[in-house]
Amino acid sequence: MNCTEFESVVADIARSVLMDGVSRREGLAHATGCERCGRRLANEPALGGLLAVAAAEVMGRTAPPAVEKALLPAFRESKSAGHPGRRAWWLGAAGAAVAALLVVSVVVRRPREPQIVKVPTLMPAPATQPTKIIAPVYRETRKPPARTLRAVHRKPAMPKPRSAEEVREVVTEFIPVIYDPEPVDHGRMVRVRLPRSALAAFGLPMNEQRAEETIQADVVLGEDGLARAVRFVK
Amino acid sequence: MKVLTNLADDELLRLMASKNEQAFTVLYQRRQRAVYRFALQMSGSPSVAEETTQEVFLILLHEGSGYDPARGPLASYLYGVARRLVWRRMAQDRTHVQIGEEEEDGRTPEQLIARSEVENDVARDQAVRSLRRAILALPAGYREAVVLCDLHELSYVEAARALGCAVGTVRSRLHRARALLAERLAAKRSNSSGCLV
Repeated sequence: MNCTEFESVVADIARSVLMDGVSRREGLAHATGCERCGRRLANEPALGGLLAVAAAEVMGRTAPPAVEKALLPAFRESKSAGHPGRRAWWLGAAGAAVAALLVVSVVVRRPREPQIVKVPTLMPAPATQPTKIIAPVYRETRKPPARTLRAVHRKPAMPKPRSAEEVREVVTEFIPVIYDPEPVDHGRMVRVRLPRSALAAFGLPMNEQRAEETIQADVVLGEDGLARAVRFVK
Repeated sequence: MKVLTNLADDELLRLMASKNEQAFTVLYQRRQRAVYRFALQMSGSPSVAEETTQEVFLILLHEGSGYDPARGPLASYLYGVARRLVWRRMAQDRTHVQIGEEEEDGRTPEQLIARSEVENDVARDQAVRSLRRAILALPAGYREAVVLCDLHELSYVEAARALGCAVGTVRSRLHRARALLAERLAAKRSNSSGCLV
């Protein structure tokens, strides 16, 4: 037995705790041969004695009577309220949780309807009148999180990919792409990547040095599949 | 009342659930000492011990159904609740661990002197005070092991139940704690001129 192993049995030897006889013999033998551990074992009864005195000194200590006086009204109150109320509260909470889960599952399973996008009607302009380029209006929108069944199930385990600040987007107004005498009431919006030069094609300012790069855009497709309007996303 | 005192904790709990106030009183009288002493020895503060005792029994009143006799005796459950409350309290206010000598047991220095004169054992009193301070200075995990196994004389198994850990963990913590106590007391002895033990 070495000193480390002796440390793990010295208290048991000193406290006369029921222990493995071999460990006890080996511990005592080590203490005989090792001066430091021998001293440690010799000090143990003194430590044990002090601990016993410390324990005896507080043996008579009890909580003040005020504690019991304060507890008795609480006991009466809790009993008058009764456990059924508490149980009912838990049942209500559980019911609400189940209902919320059902609603979530129904929402998740429901097939997504095509997104309705209002597209501004392009009025024919006189040919002689030059097209007035209007600076785009930028506004911030929050990108809604993707709601799929898998995402709902994984939610507790998945780390948050990006903070709300990060998913914030800056978009332009929708810009009509083709002349359409009949206003489009319904359409499907798809996100695409376009070369930056497309900005210039729509009369928007563009950094020519970054013309090779791409930019995100939302394109509104009519029911016939033709692009009706586009907006750029930053 | 006399009949109730002979009942086991589980029986008293059952009676408490059926609005028997005397059962609660008997159970409180039976278990409050251990809870109070544990909180006092862990925190070193009588006020913390008082609050902890009250909270432990309030929890028993409101969440008594959370106690499962199959997992161990009620005493272990109460120790476990008290332990959580003391830890929370210590995390909130660590100053309670460092206490003045006079506050340790509520006695004035004059009372201590008088007591020591009667017993003619000043050295032992000082040594016990040093020990109490050394226990309070132990890491909380080690302190729990010393308080439960050495001061409350719980077995390793009972202490492990109260602490919610393995028996081996209690053993190793207790051994390490006693080694630390021995070191600190030895250092104290070597610093002082007289022999304290």
